[in-house]
Amino acid sequence: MPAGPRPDDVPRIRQTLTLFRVSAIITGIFLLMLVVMMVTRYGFTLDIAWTSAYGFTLEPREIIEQQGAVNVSFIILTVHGWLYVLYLGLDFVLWRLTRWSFGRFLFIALGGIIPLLSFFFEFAVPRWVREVTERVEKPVEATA
Amino acid sequence: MSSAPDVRRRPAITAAQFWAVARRPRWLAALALCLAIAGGFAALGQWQIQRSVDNATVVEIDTETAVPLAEIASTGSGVSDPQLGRMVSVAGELVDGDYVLLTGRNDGQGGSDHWIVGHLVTPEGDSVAVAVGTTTEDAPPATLDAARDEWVGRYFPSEEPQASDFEHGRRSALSIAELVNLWAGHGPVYGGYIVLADPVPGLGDIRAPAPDREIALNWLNVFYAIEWVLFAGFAIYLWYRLVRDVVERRIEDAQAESAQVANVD
Repeated sequence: MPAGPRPDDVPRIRQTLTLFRVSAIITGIFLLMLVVMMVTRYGFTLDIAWTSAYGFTLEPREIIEQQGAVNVSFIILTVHGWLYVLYLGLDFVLWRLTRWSFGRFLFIALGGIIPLLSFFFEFAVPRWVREVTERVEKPVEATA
Repeated sequence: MSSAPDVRRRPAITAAQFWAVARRPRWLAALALCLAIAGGFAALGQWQIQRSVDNATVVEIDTETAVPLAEIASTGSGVSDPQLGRMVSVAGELVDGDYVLLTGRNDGQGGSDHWIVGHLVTPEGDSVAVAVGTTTEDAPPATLDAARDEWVGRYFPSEEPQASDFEHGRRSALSIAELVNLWAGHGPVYGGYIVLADPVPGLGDIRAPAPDREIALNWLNVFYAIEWVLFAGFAIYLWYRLVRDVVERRIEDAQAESAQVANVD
């Protein structure tokens, strides 16, 4: 039988869950952009550039650097990296508070690596949270 | 259903209780795994630091010792970053009648200068633009009394031609593409121009400071290195946390059992 969360932690679980869902959506979007960026960089050896004159274009990385244009591929790579750190942090806090199994922590962690998976977690994790919080809240309501 | 023990707070545990669980083969194996992961993370951090230093040292080039132009640059190509602002030397003769006057050149003191740009032909027949000095005249000279075995100066990239007001016979940008059309004839052309260190007699000095090449530590790599160190610490913490969870569960289970026993009594 899993331990379930401590009743005092339930409000904090709700707060963390809200942040986690926002994080899951944003990280998921950046992960999809990362897929596009990987395909252009390693498939066609081109990076995505942005200039005010031509908008978004595909060009070799050296050319982008020479022109001083904005390298969108590099931005996607870096931003996704930091967003994933945030996502992992929220996953960790949620896992601590809900006292889920370690396997579930690792499973949710995959959301920042496998495309589209974080969109699944965005609605699956709230359901899992409800399962454990309902269990602890009922006896509390009964005694009150 | 029995009344639950106090699960609102996490139980306090002693070091002895912690180590009783941590000593088990299973958790020692987990510790070994976590240490291996932390070691890997630390190695990645080391690699990032290495890269940030490598990137910084690549930038360090001796720009102040003159090198033959043909050694660092070639005709028909632009000026790359390591060539920029480097002192170069080149042999050759200035071509009479190919002098061009540039106006509105920044003198570095808030004002502007007139430059005279000459056409130098090397013994190999290559052409290179040379800014020979500043002048107060409003027209370029047809000829300059200047001959040297070796011309020494700083190498700069060609500028965009659109800034020139050529309709009024005035030019302000030093554009190689534009100069080529003004010269009577030319061989293969270098993509950059040279600003002479010592101006031709009768002309003034052109301000051409050494390029600003501060050693730029790559901060992105430094931050990644810090990140890896944090991850390494986190791997160890995760092991501690997992062991502690097991200990807490055992204590809570024991409390629940004794509470049940007490209820039955």
